[in-house]
Amino acid sequence: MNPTVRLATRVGSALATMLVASFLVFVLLEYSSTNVSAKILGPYSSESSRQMLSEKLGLNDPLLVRYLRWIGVVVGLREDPVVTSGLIGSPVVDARYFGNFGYSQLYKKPVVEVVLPALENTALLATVAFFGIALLGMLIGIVCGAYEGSAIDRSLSLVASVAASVPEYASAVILMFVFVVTYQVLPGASNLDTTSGWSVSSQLILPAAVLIIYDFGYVARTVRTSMTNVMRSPYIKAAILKGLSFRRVVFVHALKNAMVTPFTVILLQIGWLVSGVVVTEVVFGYPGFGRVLLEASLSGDIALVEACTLISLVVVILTQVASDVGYMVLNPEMRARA
Amino acid sequence: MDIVSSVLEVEALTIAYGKGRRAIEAVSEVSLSIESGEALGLVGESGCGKSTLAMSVMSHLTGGARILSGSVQVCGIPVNGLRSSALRDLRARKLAMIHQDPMASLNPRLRIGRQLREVATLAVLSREEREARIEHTLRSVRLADTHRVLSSYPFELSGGQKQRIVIAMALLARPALMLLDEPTTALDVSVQAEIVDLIAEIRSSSQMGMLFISHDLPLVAQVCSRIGVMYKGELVEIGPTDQIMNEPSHPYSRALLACTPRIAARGQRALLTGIDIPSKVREPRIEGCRFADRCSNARADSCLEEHPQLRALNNLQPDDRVRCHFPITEQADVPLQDAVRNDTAPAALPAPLLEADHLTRLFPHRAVSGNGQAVRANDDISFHMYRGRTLAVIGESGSGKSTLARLVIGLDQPSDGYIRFEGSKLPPSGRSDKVASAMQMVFQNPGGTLNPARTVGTGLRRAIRKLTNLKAASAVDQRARDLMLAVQLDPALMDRYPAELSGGQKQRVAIARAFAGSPALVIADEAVSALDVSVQASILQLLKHLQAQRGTAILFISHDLAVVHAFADDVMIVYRGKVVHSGLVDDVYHGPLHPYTERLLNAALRSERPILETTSDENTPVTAGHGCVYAQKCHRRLGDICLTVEPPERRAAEATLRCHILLEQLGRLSPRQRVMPQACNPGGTSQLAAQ
Amino acid sequence: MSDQTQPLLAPIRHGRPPVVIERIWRAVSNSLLLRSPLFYVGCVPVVLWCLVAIFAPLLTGYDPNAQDIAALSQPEPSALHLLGTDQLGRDVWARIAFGARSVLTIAPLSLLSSYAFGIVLGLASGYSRLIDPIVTKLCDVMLAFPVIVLYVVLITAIGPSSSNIIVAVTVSTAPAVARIVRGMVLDLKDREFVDAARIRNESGLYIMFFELLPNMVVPLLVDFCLRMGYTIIKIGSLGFLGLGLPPPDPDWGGMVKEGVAFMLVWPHISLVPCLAIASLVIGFNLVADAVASVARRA
Repeated sequence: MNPTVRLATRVGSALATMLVASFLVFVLLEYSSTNVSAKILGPYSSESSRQMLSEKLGLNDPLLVRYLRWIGVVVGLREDPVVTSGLIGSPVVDARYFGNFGYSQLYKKPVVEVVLPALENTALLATVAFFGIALLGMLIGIVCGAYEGSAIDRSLSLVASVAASVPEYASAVILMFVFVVTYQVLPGASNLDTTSGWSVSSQLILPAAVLIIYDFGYVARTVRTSMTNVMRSPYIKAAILKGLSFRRVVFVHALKNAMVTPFTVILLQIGWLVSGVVVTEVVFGYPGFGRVLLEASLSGDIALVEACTLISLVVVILTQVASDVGYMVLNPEMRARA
Repeated sequence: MDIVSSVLEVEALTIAYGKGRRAIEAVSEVSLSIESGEALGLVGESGCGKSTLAMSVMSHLTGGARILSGSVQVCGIPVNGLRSSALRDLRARKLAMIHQDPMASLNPRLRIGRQLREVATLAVLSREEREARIEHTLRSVRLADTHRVLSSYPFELSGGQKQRIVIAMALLARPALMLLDEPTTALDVSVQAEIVDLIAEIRSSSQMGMLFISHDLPLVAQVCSRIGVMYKGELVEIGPTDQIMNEPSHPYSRALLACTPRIAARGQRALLTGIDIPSKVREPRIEGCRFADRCSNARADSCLEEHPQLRALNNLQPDDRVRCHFPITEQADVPLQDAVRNDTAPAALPAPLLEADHLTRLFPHRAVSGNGQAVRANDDISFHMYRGRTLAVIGESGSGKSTLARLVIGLDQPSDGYIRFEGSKLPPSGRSDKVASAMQMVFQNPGGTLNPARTVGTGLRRAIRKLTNLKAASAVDQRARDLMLAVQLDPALMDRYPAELSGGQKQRVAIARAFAGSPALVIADEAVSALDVSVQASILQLLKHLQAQRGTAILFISHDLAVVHAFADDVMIVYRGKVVHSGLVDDVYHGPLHPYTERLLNAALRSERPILETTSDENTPVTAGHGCVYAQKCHRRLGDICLTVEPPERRAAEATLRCHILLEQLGRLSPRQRVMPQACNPGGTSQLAAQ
Repeated sequence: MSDQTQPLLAPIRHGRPPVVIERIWRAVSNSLLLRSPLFYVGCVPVVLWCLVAIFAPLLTGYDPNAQDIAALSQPEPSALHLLGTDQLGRDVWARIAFGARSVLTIAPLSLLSSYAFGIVLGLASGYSRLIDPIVTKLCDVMLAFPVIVLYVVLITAIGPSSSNIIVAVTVSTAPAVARIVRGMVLDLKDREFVDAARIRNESGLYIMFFELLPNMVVPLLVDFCLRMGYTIIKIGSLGFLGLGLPPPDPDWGGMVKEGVAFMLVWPHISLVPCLAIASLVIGFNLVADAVASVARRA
């Protein structure tokens, strides 16, 4: 297939996935209309006022109509009925802009204003963790795969497997016990507040370490599998029998073939990190996206939960598309058809 | 330092897999040597240890294999225990190996040029020398457009081209010894012929020693001056090619020769004798001769108890050594007469069992070519089948022969045309249970034909329940046992899983399953092509026996002209979905030949002058109704008429062919070519066919 | 070459057990698994925690929810409370032992339900071209959700309870299983034995469940073992995030969360459940690794 057409279909399918997923989220969270108005008006509001609000916001309309209206608000085609109805007494906010996920009852701010700064903080942590995961995972995977079955392969694989078995909260608690409680060399809270005397970078160490420990094993395992498959292939055998040095066989012949599948898997870790940070951020009190999602969920701030879910979906789907495109670029057979 | 004349010296080499008491010897006490400029062939069935031997020469044993005793010397250097840098140097300069699958032994993500230069660099060539050597070597393997080839990725080249590259890569360092492990097995018949021709040419024009490993005795004979025959890890016979091909002394060599299909003279067909012992479970170790359990000459005392030694047959031929207590000394006589041949024309027979009428199967274009045209996998194919007769369909890969099988059996629906079975037209889809039990199929791949998760018996009993009226468990079980016996298998094997069976045994079970409901028609789609020759012969014998017993019609799909000649009564030759030549086997093979038939026969007979394809532009689409399907590759093409006008049907005796060329002007099988197998002339130069 | 590496055939036995049981038994009794030290190391914590879960009331004299007011000032491990008490004076060991019960029932149950749905969906979508696009798209959508986000959304919508945890795990895991099963069906369905079944006029249901499914038992078993540890981690995460079992029932993840606040003074409150979860998951994953490596070689 023509790469442009391929890319277009891929993007189309990503959009479709996005639409279906957002509809599912909407249905799950806003199915009962009384629920929504109760959330807005608070637990002590009367039944009749909830009914009136439902009427006013069109919450009794068919689900699909409400969904389309909601999407219209999100992409900035319509005005947010909650704002125009004057329900929010606090400072006047715009009723129509792109990315209008509504008003957060919990933070008393428009959702975007809550989510964006949190997202920035998370991006900082995720970037550090991503490079750690990718580098450590590839290094261990390549070494294990090139020396399959050796003592170094078996011990590193065991380490990777054990590390991946420890949940983030458990490794966080264990690391905190060692470095915060026992030795007191690192801060226990990573709220990015430097007045405590700990620098931002020192605050990032523990959360990033927890994410890396939990995830590098998965990447290492994928790289190792791909590497061992390539090392067993006839062309590697042929390369060895040609009299090439082992190093040249690994670096010139094997790596190029072995990194294709792991490449996509490594990219997909970006998508994983978006949600993988939730637990870590909660443990360390890190003011990021994950913590916002959890707080919104626990306090029933539906608009905020929806926004966070959709944003994480966008990140995941974008990385999926990116990894597919990367796969095409890495594959000479695909490139040749361009 | 003394001068070493032999490039390879293997001394009493024993290699085993595993350790301690579980160790299984793959190679036992093998000794052989190759002089420079000499080609030694090594022949044997799969699992006989020939590939393990080759890998020990390369000093690259894997899978837990270890050398227990003996030595391997390349150019006087013992390879075992060599330091890794010295070993790399030896591999780079003295050794070269060509593997079975050319597609797989080139790195898919590196350009050809880079892979070639890498090898040239290892041979320590200067830059200019390197480029000149590459250019020269590519030309010597008859790759013309070197510039394009060098900048290509492997996937941009055809299978034959890739194999040439691999050969060029092996030649680049001008090694002292070249190992070829089944170098043509993965290729199509016609490409195979060209590559063998090339290898023979290289052998005669260089001082390189060659170790040619194959399961195919005649193929090896074409290239090599000496042949060694291996059986269960042992060298059972070694001697000059003429000797092995005409007067083999070991019963196994003789059996191998007897079961190799060949194209016999008109009115004759080779009787294939299989030496497969289907019911036997593989035995761990035999005290006496390893071949004793399959040998027809074996005598109870000496053969079963005493292990024979490899010894010279007599003083006159010190080169011909054999490992047998009772070697055969008289001339081999290959039996040619066959009693059950149906030499009558089909017209004399009663109403046909199955009529296929103008079958056409179109596939949407996207799968194959991107130009919006549907691919005609089958184009207007009509034929009749009769009870008790075998109709063979011959074609190369991609010719649509398997599609035809799927159309007939109902796994696929024709785009046009219909099938009439026992007088009534079959619906396009959803056949009745009655038709299902009357028409069954045996598949190509023994590994996939039985469900790996179910015992042989479970599958067989299910087939009986589904295809017959038997319902009671005891009756079904009895029938299953009868079927196992009918295919010469021990009913106790019904408790086994397919993985525990050999390829031949699996194929026998598949045949038992196909015959569960007493079918009137059985389709055999390349049913023996994945098997060793000896097993292949016994499976063909079995099919023939069942056919004679039950009057079953067989539709036999194959790419092998020799097998078809030995097995079928009628034949259709298919090219790109169209029947180009059909009729009685003898009238097709020995009558005027369609150019395509001519080329296939030429390749199958391993002629010294292979007919090469005219163009190799495989992607040109075939447009229906515009000229002859074979025109683009035809070596006898008349001119534009072949490309634009559909050829007329011509009849010659009981055969029909489609060609513009007059019958008298078409090629024929020359009497000389009919002699098979053909020994090669060591030292003689085989010439490149000039077109 | 593969011929020589295969072990010699076992003698023919009669009266074999049914196929699936036999295959599992073979995978287990396969000498390779029993020779793998990883397998034994992994079995130790798994078996221990199973025993603890079964005999929980016998292993502790305390009610997991009973508060010992006297221990409130001294929650550290003592002769009375071997692993100490938590911030509310509840015995940590009792809570761990009873918590093992909920982990070791909810995780397998939710996985079983995931496999039931996943296998049916996967078989149907792999085998039927009609159903395939719908199921595939739906799986794509479900798998696009980051797992934790999906759990949070689901639990926000349906509320926390043990049965809702099972629902949440099923919703997130069944699509993954369906995708694996579909892949295996696509790989298997062009094999000759499936064609042979179609030629016999077998129904689609027969082919799916009797021809195809038995071939997936071993890989699915390996996958099941691998997912077990992962599911325990995720269920623990839910508890840790406060979306697990509602209090006061003991729940390892929830215990970690409650303890984190007291990390600097009484680290044992969160350390103990952390070590419990980690040891159980490591055990399951080692067993899974051992099973996987044996299945690859068999």
